Amino acid sequence: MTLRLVEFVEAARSGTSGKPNGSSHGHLRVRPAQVEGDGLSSPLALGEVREHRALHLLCHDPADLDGLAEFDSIRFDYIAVALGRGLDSAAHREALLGRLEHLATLMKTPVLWQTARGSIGQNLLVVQGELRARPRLRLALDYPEMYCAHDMVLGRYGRWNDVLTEIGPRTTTMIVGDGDSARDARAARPDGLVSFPPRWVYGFRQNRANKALAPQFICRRNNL
Amino acid sequence: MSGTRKVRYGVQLDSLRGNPRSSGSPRLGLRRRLGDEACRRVAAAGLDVIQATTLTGVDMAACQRAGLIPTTSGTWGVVPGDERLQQRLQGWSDAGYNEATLIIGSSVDDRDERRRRVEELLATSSRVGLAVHLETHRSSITQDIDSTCELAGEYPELTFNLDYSHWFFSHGLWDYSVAEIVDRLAPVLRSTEFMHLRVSSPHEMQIRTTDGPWRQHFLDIWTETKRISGTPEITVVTELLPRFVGYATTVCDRWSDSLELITFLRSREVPL
Repeated sequence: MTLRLVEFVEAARSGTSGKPNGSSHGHLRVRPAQVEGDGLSSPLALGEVREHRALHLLCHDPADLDGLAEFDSIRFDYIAVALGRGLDSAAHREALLGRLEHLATLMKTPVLWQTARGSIGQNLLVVQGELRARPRLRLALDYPEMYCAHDMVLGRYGRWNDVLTEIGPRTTTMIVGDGDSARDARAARPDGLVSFPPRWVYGFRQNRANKALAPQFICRRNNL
Repeated sequence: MSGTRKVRYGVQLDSLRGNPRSSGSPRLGLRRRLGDEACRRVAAAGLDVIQATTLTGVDMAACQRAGLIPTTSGTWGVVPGDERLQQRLQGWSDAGYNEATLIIGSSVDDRDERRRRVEELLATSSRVGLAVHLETHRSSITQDIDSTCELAGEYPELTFNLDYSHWFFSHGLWDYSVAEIVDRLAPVLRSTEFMHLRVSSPHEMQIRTTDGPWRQHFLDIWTETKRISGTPEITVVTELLPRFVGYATTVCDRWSDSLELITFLRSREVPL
């Protein structure tokens, strides 16, 4: 299992709507670390980040997604896109996901749907349903965001396992890091690291077993 | 029809726990129960209602002597073994609670499971004779706005405890105007008979009521809810949780914050 320690950097916001490179929605660049390991027990001990290797974007409009093709020649490890907004209609959701899935088949760079609060991927049940309907779609699972969105400190873990067992093999990148059920990464307390929960491992193990995908974990910290 | 909607204001007892020593907050007594002196002080602050929780309770006689209305809250089907609905509602009714709010199920319960739970809630609530409002809450069957609006449309007799902060935080509602939000939430707001007050930011579930621009947004949503709710009475209760629950970042005076929020909201009474 590969672990990369990354720093998310808020990119400049040029105000040029529709182009990921200067989207008015902004985008986040990911810097991978040179360190690889087999667990997430000591993320602070990991090394300095070096270079941009992947791209994380927000996109509200299906037409804007076509701009992703511009990045195909850069050979990012992957491009992850959080889609839409929290109150988008089902029709808008379908349009966004349909376009993303189409691009994923056209581009050499893996294109992933990133889960996040305030997007169409804020609810894991919806994510599960969409993955069933779209077999070519792959996920970048932002675990702290999902932890917030679902208040995971509360609840029946058995229910989570059912969902995660199913979506785990479709998840190629998972973001872990600061936050808890009442705070996102930006407002995290020093002791607020969302621990890597064993129940999430199961789906990833299945993923490795079938060798269909190469899962990787991205650790986001505020204080690199 | 003229006049104003009947709105009852109060505090959930967790808003009184863990306040700093300097706070003028009424204190819970033995076994985390609200006794005579504390009930008198709540009433003296101009409040009508107190709401108990799973871990706190009310001395019913003291509550009655102070002229307060006792309500309560809990969960059903949220954690393993949490399935005895009939027993819970009967217990609350027998204890003398006036109404109750419930967090129900899991956010990954499917549509059939959500409907089954709502139907059982409605049947049991009717059988026991206790008004029970479904709370909008992450990690429950109401995590998602769309599916909750669907429940509101499907079950007109279902009433809600609107805890708006959960949807603000999970759905990123800071991106929208109040009008857009109210329009989208209308099926739920029309059936809202109870509200939990808490102010969030995009990054934290609970902030001081004096913090940042968000208080105005929440006051606008709550005011609009009072306006469009189709119910003749609404109970409005602050639920400002203590730091040890994990919501508040600092130990702060949530009693004074509660009174401040209620004062603001009272100044915005809306005609029927």
